[in-house]
Amino acid sequence: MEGNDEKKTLGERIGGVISRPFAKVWRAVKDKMYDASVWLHHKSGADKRKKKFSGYKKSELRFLWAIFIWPIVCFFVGYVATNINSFFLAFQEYNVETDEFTFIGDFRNFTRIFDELRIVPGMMQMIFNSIIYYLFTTVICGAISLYISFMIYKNVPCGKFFVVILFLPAIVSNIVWVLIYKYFIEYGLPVLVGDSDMMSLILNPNSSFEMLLLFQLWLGFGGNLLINTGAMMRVPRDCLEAASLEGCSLWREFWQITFPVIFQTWGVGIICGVITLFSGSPSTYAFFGNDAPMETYTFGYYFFQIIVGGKDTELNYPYAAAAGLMFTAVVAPITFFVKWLFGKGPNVEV
Amino acid sequence: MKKLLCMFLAVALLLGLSACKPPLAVDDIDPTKTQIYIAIGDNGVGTEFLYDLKAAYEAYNSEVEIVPVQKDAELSNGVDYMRSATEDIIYVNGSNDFSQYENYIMDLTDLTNIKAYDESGEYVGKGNGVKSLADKMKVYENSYKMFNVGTAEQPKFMSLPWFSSVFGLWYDIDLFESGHLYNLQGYTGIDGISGTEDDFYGPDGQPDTYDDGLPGTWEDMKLLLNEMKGKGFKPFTFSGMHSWMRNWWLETVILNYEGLNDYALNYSFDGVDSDFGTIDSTNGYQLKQQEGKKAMLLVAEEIAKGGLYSNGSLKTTQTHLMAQSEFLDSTTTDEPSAFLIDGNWWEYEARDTFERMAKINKKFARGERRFGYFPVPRFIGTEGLKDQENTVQYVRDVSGYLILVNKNTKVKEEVEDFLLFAHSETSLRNFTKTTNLFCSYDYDMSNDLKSLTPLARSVYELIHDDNVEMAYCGPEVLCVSDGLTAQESLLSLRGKNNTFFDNWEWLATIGEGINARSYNDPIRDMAFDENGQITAATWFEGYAEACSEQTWNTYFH
Repeated sequence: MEGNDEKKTLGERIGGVISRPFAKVWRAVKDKMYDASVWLHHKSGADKRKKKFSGYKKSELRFLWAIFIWPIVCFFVGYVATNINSFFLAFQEYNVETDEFTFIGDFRNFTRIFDELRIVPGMMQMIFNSIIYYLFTTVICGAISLYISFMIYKNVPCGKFFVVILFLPAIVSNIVWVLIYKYFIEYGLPVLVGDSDMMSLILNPNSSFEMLLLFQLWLGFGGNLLINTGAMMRVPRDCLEAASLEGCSLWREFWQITFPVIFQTWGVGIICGVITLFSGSPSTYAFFGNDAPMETYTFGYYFFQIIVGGKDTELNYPYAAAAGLMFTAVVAPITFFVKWLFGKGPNVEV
Repeated sequence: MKKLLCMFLAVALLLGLSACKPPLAVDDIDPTKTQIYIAIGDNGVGTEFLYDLKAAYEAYNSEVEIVPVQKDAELSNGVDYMRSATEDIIYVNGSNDFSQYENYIMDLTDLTNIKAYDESGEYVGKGNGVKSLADKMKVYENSYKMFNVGTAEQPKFMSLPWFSSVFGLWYDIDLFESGHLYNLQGYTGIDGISGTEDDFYGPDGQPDTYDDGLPGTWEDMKLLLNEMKGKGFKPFTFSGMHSWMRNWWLETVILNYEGLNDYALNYSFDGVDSDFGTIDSTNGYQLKQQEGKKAMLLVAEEIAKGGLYSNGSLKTTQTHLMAQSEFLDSTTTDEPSAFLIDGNWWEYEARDTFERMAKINKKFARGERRFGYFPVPRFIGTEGLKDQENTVQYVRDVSGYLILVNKNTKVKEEVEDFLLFAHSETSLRNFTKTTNLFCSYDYDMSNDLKSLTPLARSVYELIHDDNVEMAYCGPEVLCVSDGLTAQESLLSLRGKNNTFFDNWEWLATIGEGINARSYNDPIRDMAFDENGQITAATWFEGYAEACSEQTWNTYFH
């Protein structure tokens, strides 16, 4: 009020004029800081009420942690740490005289595998065997497994019996089946064909690898049986009834109705199977232990041998680590490519 | 129906139990005594000797109790068991390479130097004797070197030899006698001339030795095999599952032809070969053309192409135990087997078969049947092969049977005392009497031979024969010869490049162009060869294909 202003001294009036803009600025700064603190408070969730878990929820969480903690630890130790260590190991060399691994900083461990594949006789056979094994398990075993799954899905006579029989190899120890198979081939088969002097097809260098593949075929029948039949169950019944009414054949039903529905599920198995290119073997160790004949070697068996099997020595660890990295470099893009390829396929939602 | 299926499934699952064994009980312990725990696996030796040793030691030292802990599959990885071992002493089959295990295994060097034995080798307490364990070991010089993981100047022992095992060909003496297979008409002996004095002196050419009446040369051996074939015998029996067993015996043929120095060059690649001169890392490929390998291939060809093997020998289902049974049982059949390829532990390992057969006839019991070591004949007058120069009979010893001490043992003094006691003259003799196996220590069995089986007596006679030398070889990489210790063998070219030298003795490439294939199991590959393409000659040529000068230089330079 003017009267109030007249009562203020000149100094006070001058001070007010000078301090007014600073006060405005200060007010503006304080407002901004307040806004910021509100924003932070909001972001930190401190404004939210702390959830108080019920006793049941807490015990559920404890249970889940108890279940998963060990697999998580195993994952980090057995996969993450191992692969990190492999990476460093690939650039080291074992010094026999000092019993230590020393950093070499070059790629000689990587070139060693190419040298040995090129030079050492029988090693090229390993490449062919690995590819054959992969294609056999993926294409042939996969196709037969799919066919059997479809037949069981269509409730063929004694279908459930076949489910049990075909799934047995996945339940009973592999060693048991290997023994049964060996005795059948070496003692049962000669009786069946009526040639008691028949020599062992498993030990015959011309047929030993094929015998292992045949064993794998038998084992592989029930491989994805449950997954495939479970996926086939998703096909709507009314769709099948309509197709049946219109005279759709079994093959057409499979190819145009059932297969598209299960395509993505089936594809998961194919994508995951890519890794067996360098790590798989047709139960070679179960058949022969450390004494497998060279014609049955695959990458998986060979590198197992030089690390854990009869030829193990620290000298081979960096070599195997480098080979593992190289295999990853090959398999990873193939896996992504296969995944991309399957992504282009039918993806039917039912 | 569901119930039936469930029952069927349950029965099928029970199949897996067939691989299980019942838990092995550890003896009840006496809390007033100090215990020494000893882990021992199934190496064909059994545990009877250990229990006898336990009784003897506990009578000697009543304050200590020995607790044998029998292991089975746990010790299948050999020395690796030490990582998790809780026992104080471990008897194991393993490698003499302890580079990964120095934190788990006690250094026994000091133990081996303690003077604890009197002149006769009996234990008289630590420091009270005139002989040490090392003195006892040095009698078998190459075994000493095998277990020495230090240098010749500064020995170091991380293990002690457990027992020595002779690996080779064992023949049925009873069959030879009943089949009139000794002293065959037509034998020429090592001079190559029939009708001379040495026709029936065997490979050593000396009378009144272990090999009298046996073929002295490979040509004589072929006569013997023909004779056997004519009588309907299936001469050879071996394990089909374990290719290394038949291949190890074939290596013994190479060893005997070449002699230890030239043979050991295949491991060290550092020395002088009698045919090729200086061998080193620049020209080691030449050893692929050693005549001894040609000799070995001739033997393999004769066995394989002639069908001179038993029915089970080339079947993967035939384990070494089944081979032993087949060999022993064959005497009651129309196709008896004359030879078994195995280590001399096989007789103790096959005791169940002996017991079973003894019920048929007591003459089949263990200790009644007679077996002997069949020496490798000399290659003299063999067409296409230079006459063998080596005259020594080399017998291959599988030196992987070790005694280890846990570094974390809390009873070190007692363990040392026990180990020294276990290697006294009496303890070693008792071990041999029980197991019929010998140890590479200095002890005298000459007064106890009658308590041994005929096979063990023949081994004793063999290893004490003037013309016989023991060649000590470890798993794959090691072979000890003069001047080379086990540790030095690890540092050899072969030791450092084990993947390149994998199957070095066997690997051959046969065929041309796209038909070329690699082979590494002579007897098997020749037996299954239907086209006649794989012979000793083509295999020997295939050696050069498999490892040529170019291959060698590409890899090493």
